Amino acid sequence: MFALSSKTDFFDPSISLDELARRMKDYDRMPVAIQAGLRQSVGITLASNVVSIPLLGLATYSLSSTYPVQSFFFIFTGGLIDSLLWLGDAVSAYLLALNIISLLLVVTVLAVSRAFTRPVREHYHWMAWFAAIPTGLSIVSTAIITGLVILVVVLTLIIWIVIGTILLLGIKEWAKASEEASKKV
Amino acid sequence: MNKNSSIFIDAALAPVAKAYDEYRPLVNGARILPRVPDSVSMPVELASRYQQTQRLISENGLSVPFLGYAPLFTGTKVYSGKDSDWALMNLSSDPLFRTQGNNLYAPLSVVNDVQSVVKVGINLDAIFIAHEIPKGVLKSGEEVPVDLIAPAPSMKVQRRLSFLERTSRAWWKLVTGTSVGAVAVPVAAGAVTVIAGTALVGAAAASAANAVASASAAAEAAAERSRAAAVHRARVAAEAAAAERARYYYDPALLGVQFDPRWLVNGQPAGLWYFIASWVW
Repeated sequence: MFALSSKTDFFDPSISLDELARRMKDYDRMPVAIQAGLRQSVGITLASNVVSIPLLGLATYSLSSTYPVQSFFFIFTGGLIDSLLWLGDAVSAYLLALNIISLLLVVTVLAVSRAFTRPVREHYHWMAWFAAIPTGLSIVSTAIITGLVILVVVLTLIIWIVIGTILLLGIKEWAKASEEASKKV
Repeated sequence: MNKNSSIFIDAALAPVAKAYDEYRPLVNGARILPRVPDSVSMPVELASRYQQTQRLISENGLSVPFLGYAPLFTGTKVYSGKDSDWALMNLSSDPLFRTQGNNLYAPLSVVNDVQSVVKVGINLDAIFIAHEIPKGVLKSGEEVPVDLIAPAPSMKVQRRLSFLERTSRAWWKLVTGTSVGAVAVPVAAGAVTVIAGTALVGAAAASAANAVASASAAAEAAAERSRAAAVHRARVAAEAAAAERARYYYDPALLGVQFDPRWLVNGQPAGLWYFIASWVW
């Protein structure tokens, strides 16, 4: 393990000054245990990646088959929903790549720190910190696209409610007019 | 020991006094020279190495004072100092050295000093490390807990790590807020649309929503107060821990030994001890 001196009867293994000079490192580069905030961040990133990578993988291959939307419900907002689905389809591959990069980073940090049980060099702290960025962006992008899809559904719903209301009012007026006509007769 | 191959070195070991004075707190505490025999002889080879080392030290103006001789040992010896104790052990037995992947982290100036000593051709057969520890926490033979001697990262590293932790928390807060907002706003709009369908249900829903909103606001306020209290407690605990660390100085010192297994003093292996470096974390 060490470069043993020839005189190691009492100190086996002993480290010579020569060996010490090779094994001395700058204090500023000393390994440090990952702090609670970063540990939590790594946990969230990992959990999010584990969930989103299969879903994004699925989305990358299946979203393209969902548009153009043929549903009667979206007859007035088909263009909007198609655009959103196209957008989701287009970005899902990038989001998948971001999540995979993030997963690789957190797995590296977890492996090097033996699941946070060992102190690690500073660049691993930066790695743990950086891993949260692609995952966070991916979560926000997915949430925004999902939110926009929901908004279009709501808009469609409003359109149908208005149409339904107008139709009902029309039917009511028509019924009223029919009733008056029949009374005259 | 073969007396023919040995020389008398009382005079050679006498200059210990000067270095002894300079590092009195450490040397006294660690009792590197607990006793000085009346006369000592050592193998010619070792005496010659000693003289060569002394010559290299003086020629190169190095600060590697010769401390004297003392018995060699394995394991950890704890010596009582004035304000703190000292745990002295072979570097290869140092738990801190072992947990850091058999590396010794020290200020860069110390690293450079040690490398310059090696570069001039001085070699020492074994390295001992003395860790300053709080008084009375350990007895000789007991292994030093790593937590007791592990230094905190340097201030600039601590600042950077603290930045990472702070920004990481802020990032996740932003991500959560944005994502929840992005989904919650359309969902709320949808809910309002459905609710607006019937005035009665809308009114009931509105009053329920008000009640839920005020309950949620109250719960949020209570959670915020609880979070603030937790943050305050954590800060107080961190400050207390920092103060606790600052109270003790886990300042290590490195000692080097030249020895020859044939050299025995009172039947015990002995070595020539040098002071290599010490530093303050």
